[in-house]
Amino acid sequence: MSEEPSHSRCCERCGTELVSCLFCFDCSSLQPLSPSTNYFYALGIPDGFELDLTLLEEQFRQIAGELHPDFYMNSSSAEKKLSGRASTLLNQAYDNLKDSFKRATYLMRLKGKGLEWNERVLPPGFLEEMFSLQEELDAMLEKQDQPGLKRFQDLLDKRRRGLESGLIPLFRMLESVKELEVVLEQLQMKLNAERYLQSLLDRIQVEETT
Amino acid sequence: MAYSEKVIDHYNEPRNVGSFEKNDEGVGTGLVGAPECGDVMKLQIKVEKDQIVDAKFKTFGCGSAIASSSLATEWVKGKSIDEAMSIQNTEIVEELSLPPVKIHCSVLAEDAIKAAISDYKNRKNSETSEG
Repeated sequence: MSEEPSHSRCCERCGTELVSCLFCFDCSSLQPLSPSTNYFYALGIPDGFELDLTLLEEQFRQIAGELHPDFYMNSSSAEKKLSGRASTLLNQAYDNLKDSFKRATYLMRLKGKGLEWNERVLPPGFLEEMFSLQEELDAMLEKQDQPGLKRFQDLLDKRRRGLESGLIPLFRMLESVKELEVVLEQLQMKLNAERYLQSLLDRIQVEETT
Repeated sequence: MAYSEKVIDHYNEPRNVGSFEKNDEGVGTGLVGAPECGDVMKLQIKVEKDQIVDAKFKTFGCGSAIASSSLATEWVKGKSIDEAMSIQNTEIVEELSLPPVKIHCSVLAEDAIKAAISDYKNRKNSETSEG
């Protein structure tokens, strides 16, 4: 698979190489949006699962400041519209990159373009376990067993973090292996498992606030 | 998103909630999940002479997933295994007026029926081969 050169566009107006594909900091101009904007390039950070969250935050603030529709109140209607759309896209990119599971999902779509793997894969016996955990949770919610719920939540959080830390070595492997599908399927397995844990966690949070 | 009246009806009054002992004679258990939303669905059938005489379910998921499995238990009851095997998710979609984003819930219910039947058959075959 050939990697698309995702970070290599030049400003439409001044020709300078762009740090973010949404805005040129050299001549302060909004850039036309491409239908397949790379989220990493939108935020001007390097592609990859392991990212510097502080840098992500800084870049987001800086670029969001430049794109903000308030600055384009006196501009042409086309520019006004563009600043709104670019801001939406930037927010979308930021939301998808700051959360590690969303970032993983996004990166898998990029790296796995044109490839096929089992998207419903789960660890063996996982569904049975999730079903009994759901039943356990039912009983605890019914009894309003607060200490039990807290322990249950901690346990789920811990497992979720375990899945999260398991993503890093797999993404590193993805850079060095030929059989991408095999690694993608292992990544998918972790992402799927996380969604089941999350749906258990959601039930605890919902019940806590009602 | 608004649920259809039929979904709400099944959600408020789910039919055949519960479970059978999965090792009992004639019982088939299907446990399926939808990784896109973390739903998990268990559907069980009780078979006598190739007829499904009873069915139970328990679903952890959204209203549409609960309604789809509740409806599925109603539909399989009284059917032969082959008839139940031919139930299509599109029939569930139609009956419950599920919107496109909830179609996977009906797929899950169809998968659960098929998984329960296949479990029943496997267990029956292993009994005959052992006995």
